[in-house]
Amino acid sequence: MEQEILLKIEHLQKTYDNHTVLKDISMEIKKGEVIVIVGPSGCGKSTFLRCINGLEKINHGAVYFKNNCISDESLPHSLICQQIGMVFQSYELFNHLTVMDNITLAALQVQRRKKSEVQQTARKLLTRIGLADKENFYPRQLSGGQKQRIAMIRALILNPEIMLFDEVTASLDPEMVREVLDVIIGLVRQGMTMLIVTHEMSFARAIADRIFFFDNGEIVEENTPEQFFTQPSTTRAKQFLNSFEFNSVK
Amino acid sequence: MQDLGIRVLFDGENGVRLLLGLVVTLKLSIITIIASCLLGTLMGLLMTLRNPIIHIVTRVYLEFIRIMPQLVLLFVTYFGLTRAVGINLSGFTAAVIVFILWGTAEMGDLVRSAFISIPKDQYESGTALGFSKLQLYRFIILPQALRQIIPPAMNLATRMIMTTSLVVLIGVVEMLKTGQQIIEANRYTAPSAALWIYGTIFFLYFFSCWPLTILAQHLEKKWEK
Amino acid sequence: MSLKKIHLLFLAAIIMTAAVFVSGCASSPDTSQQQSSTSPTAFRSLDDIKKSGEITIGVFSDKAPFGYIDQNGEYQGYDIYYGNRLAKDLGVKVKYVSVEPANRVEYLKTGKVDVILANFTVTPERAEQVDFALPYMKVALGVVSPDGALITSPDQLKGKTLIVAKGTTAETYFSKNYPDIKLLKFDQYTETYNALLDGRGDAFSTDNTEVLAWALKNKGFTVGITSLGNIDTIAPAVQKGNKELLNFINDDIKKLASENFFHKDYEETLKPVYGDAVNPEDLVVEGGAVNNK
Repeated sequence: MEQEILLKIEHLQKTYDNHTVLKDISMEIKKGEVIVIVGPSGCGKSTFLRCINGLEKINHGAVYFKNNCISDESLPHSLICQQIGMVFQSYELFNHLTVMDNITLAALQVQRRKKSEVQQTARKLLTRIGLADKENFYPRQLSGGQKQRIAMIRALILNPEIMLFDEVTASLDPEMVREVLDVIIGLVRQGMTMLIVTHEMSFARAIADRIFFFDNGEIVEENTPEQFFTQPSTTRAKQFLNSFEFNSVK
Repeated sequence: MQDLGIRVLFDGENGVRLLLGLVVTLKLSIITIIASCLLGTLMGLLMTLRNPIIHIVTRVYLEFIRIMPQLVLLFVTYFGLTRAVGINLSGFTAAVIVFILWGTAEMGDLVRSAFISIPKDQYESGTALGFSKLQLYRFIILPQALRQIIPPAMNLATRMIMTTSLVVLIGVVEMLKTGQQIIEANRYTAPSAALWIYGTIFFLYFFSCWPLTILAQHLEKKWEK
Repeated sequence: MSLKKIHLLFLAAIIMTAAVFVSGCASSPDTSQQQSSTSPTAFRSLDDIKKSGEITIGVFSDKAPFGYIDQNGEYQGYDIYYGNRLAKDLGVKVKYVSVEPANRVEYLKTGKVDVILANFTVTPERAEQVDFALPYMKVALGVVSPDGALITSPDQLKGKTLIVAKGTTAETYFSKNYPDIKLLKFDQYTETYNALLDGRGDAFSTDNTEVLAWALKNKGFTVGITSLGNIDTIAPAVQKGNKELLNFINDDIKKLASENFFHKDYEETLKPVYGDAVNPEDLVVEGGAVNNK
């Protein structure tokens, strides 16, 4: 275990108008690790991801990226976002731009990279997700699954060190879930460090190095996927997992 | 009878007078439309700030302008200001003020609703990609807002051009009034002149508004690709 | 819902306050200006006008043949003919401003013009707002009918159908004084003329200047009654309290009677339109004296 610690969260607390969403979260993520966070709706898992990349200000605690504190606003937000990529539940492509422009805009404007190099990289990424023929399409001409895959490579082209996925399949039609998850599986194979919030339990079990179970704004259980899905150590996790099971009613 | 009517158009200074009327109409329209776009954008952006004082002030301003017929505003500015505080504006200046007040209010509301209609996701995903606030607005928010503003803004501009015919009530003689003067002067000698004069005015208005429609269509087509 | 209502009430209150403010400010100078001529909307005195070398007169620019602009862009008409003379008698140049029926009073009240000469009919309501000088013209009702069945007195209309436009003096006059005449009412003037042409009525009545002009263009119709009912007078108007200017105009009109000025005015401006069909005495007022029939 000589892998370096990429992301360290210490006693993170987040409050909205007297309502505490995240109580006291601490977590360490090593380079190359795949962490999956599961838990009932409203348990604070999405807020947790948004606190990490600075979309939400935290009330207490600290977030460290490679031993640098990134939660005290000492570093420019733009710099943090280039290191920590994020993909959201709603496939939020920029509707006025083509697929190619969507993917390259941040690389060109934020990172000031050369256009020819960026476009070449973009085409490579598009080919990898099987959408090479769509570079001049507009978002409205694409399916939800296609848009979400493009949103992923739009984040990946910035060469982030860690990716945050916030329920990226939650608003997709079932037949499109697989194509999106396959992209993440591809990233696992490449050794990308990831923090994934999902409701896809068999997917979580297949790819996670560690599972965190959130409930009511706190980490209730941390476990290996095998242990968590077969013998969870807490009753709350047990109840949560049972809600995905159906007994025959006939 | 017909050619008598059309002859009125070329009789004496009539044609030139009609064109001078058009100049008044266009001068008023162009000045006030440009000013309204600039001030309206500013006001629209102010309105998107969640400041309660700005909210109340802009809201009252907008509702006031909307409730008041333009005619009343023209009367209040031209005659009311003289009576109340002795300010004696020229009719044209009063018209410019009223049209800018009106255009800014309407434009401000268009800009506000366009910005508000852009989903929060667009701001967030832009921020998550590392864009600065300025870049976010320049590359992502403004282009999308502009697309929504253009059609109703063109509509507003056309309405403003048409409404310039009201300014005659504060003594500004524009194209339509000039036309009516010509028609009435020939009421007994060439009754069919009305048809020709109104026809000419129709075409002059049409060609004043047409470029705006063409521009709007061009932009929409460009963005529709 | 209720919040919206409160919102609306709030706005209404603001607007009403604004309106009261404007009208309050507006009405106060009216009372004060009689004493002082330094109030914001003060009129220009006779001396001011003479000193400036120019008088501003509000006229119609699209009411031929009373006030209109000819093909050379010059103001013409019965009102203008007198306006030119008034300026000449004052020894100043004249500047005409195009006014509308709806803003004539405002133009005077705000001092944006010195005199209104825009076919301004004298009414008691208007006399509270402005000061009228002696009249120089009069209008009454006229009745137009087909030559084949010409109506020359109101008694001939008994049991027949008379066409009128709604809201006109003709409507009130006939329903009050001749209740046994059947009235056919229309909203618009064009409808009334069409009805007369179609024979839906036996005659049509409105202002005599209007029917006289119409009959000239429509062969087979004649104005059998050229002056009926209450005579309305048309007079110059000045801002309330501008006594000097008012007196000057009154003296001017009286003085002009000696040269039969307004009859000449008629010959020059109205006769080309009305021809011989009209007796000038039905329209012209000379020396400010209306001879009641």
